[in-house]
Amino acid sequence: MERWWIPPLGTWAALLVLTAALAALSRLGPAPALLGLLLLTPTKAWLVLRHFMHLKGEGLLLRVVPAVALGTLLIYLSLLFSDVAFR
Amino acid sequence: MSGSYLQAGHGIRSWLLSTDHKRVGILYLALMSGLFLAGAGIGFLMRLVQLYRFQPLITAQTYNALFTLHGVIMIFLFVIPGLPAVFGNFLLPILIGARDVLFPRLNLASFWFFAAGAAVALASLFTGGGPPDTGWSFYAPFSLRTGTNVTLAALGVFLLGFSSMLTGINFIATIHRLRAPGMGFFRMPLFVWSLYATGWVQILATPILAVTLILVMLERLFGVGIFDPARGGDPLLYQHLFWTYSHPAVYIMIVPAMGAISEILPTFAHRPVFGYRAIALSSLAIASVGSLVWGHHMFTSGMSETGDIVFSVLTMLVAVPSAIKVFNWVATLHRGRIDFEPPLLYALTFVFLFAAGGITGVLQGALSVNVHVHDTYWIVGHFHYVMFGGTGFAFLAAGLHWFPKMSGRMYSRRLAFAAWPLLFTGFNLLYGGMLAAGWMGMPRRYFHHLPRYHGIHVWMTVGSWILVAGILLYVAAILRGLLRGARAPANPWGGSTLEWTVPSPPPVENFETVPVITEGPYVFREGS
Amino acid sequence: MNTAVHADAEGTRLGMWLFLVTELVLFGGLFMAYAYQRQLHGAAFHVGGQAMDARLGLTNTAVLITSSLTMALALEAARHGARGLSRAFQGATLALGLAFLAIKAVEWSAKFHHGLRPGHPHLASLPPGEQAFFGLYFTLTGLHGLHVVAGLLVLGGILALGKDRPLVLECGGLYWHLVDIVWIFLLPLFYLAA
Repeated sequence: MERWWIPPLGTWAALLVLTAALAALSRLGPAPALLGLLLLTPTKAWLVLRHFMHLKGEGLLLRVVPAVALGTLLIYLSLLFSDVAFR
Repeated sequence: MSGSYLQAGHGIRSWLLSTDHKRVGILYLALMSGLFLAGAGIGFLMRLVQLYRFQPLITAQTYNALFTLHGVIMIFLFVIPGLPAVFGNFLLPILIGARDVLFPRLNLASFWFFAAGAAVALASLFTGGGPPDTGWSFYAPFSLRTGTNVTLAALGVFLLGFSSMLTGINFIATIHRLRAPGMGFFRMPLFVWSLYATGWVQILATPILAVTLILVMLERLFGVGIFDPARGGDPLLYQHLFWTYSHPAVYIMIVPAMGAISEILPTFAHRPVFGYRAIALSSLAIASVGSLVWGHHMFTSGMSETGDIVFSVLTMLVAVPSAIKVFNWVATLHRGRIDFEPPLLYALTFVFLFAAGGITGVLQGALSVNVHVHDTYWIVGHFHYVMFGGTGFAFLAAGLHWFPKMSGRMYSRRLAFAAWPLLFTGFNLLYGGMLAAGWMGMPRRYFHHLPRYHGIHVWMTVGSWILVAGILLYVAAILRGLLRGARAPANPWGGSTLEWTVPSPPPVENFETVPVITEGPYVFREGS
Repeated sequence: MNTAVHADAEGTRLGMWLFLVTELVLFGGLFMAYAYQRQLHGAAFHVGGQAMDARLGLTNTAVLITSSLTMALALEAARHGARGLSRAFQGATLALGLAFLAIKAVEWSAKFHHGLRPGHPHLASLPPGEQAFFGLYFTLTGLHGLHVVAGLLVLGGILALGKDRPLVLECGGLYWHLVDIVWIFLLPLFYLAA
């Protein structure tokens, strides 16, 4: 019998561990908190996308679609900061 | 062989609830034509009251409502959805050899979101504190504080955005999943390429408008401090978010127009389009670079100088893929066997007026010039050259080009030719006059003007009369075709793309057997 | 009626992902607003974050991540033919979603109690940056909460109407996981901002 419930449980455990790490980092001060925000949060999102949302097994097109969205948002943000970071 | 899509069912229900992409396209066309004529009528009135004799007809507050309404109708209800919703719906499945879009029911839902959005936007005129007076751009903080019915108008535009997003999703998915066997991406007609690029802009930019309008509504209803400086907000944030959508929206408007022109020119030159790949990929380039230039609306707003420079450079870059298209169109005509029919005449007018609009755009993208022409009639003139001279004339050209396919009849060739000189002369008097007035310093959206500008206002107003006469004559050419036009053959122009291989009007399922594609879209045979 | 076109599984998935793109960009616009205001009012955002209850935020994170787990398990069970088990996991997902909303309600009412709601004179007396922080807090968590409600309606409808074919569950699940991803970002932006 295939044990299909194991991989989702692994993803879930990893997400909880990362959340705990994020909370711990944020108690250490602003710089570690920012590091956690910029590193651990995207990692968690990536885990959900890859495993819960099955991007791991999808074809090229379906993996490109969310990448385009996230890339676009990053470009939007950097253009916004070309203004607001240099006021 | 089943009957044509027009005979597939009778009665109003068979239209309003049809999931046939062709009928959905016609529904959009009917609704939008009415809205366009209303918007044009408002524009006519706005010009009229600039003559001293007619100024007492309305108040300054009414004038504010009129230019808001003119902008909202023309931009959100006509130019943004225009070509994709009408011609995209009707033609996209046929052009790729499919029997419908991938999600036909979603497509019908898009239409009803559109109709609901239009109804809500128009209802905002007669309810609450009266018609919005903010201009179509709803700038904060005025839009947060005015007593007029901005909340309802914003809800209407939100619904329209939903319609636009769903159409984009449907078209992208259709193009990926339903191309006929053998039709690779580089065998797709260029109109399909342009709809593909547009679809991506629709789904990547429209949600930003949606959330901006949600924020405006939340701030008006609950006093949430996002944009109003008195509540901790920032009006410049509003401008950033608004233009993050509303500049790409300009490319939602123009890219499908360019696609339609790319179909019309090779058809009437009977020659494969010059630089197929360059035109196809430049659609994607315009869509992507064009989405990153929104800051050029904000050069005088107090944005950082770094931002000014970044956005100015990006703005100039858009001219490159646009020029690639123009040069390839012109080269397509070279050594063609040209049939000088009305669709070609209108398409060439598009190329000319769009080039004028594009060049004035590069000019005002320069920071030093922009400071002087910002918020003057120059901007209004530039915008109308691109949107009316561009998208509007492409719509008129596409209307003539595909009218025989959609209706099964020929329009009045004589009236279509007769409308052109009026349209062209009136257009250039009116909007050329705006460029001149703005260069002389006339600010936009003013009810009153100084006497030194009166001469040019008379000039523009006379132009608007000629332009309206041209529009009416064009409508007459179409109506006459509907009522008395000769039966259209399947392929009246000798076109090479798939829509000309099916009868006019097309049968319900488009193709008896799905075609197998063995070559590119623009292969013209002798004698065709 | 036009019966010629049926979206295949791959096409349905593509359509769903394109829809999720619009949701991502919608929240992306709000994240742009957040980043903009935080850049201008960094210190005030730090102060605002001190009013946040990190324990509630972390609890809700655990709740939502677990609901994503049960959703993923519901799909896997359905794919492996264990329909009863799948429906049990769907029910658990719904229960966890409701628990999330309940905790959210407790949190919001505490903020309201302290006068930290838009339109209240106390909030209006705070520095602009803190007003911006709470404006964004209510907007982002409120809009996210609405998406949770929408997800519950969709998943509840699937369960109640017995439409739990794997493809339908997959699309409903994709939406639910996306709502989870948005929350994953909200946690550090607000609850751990101090």
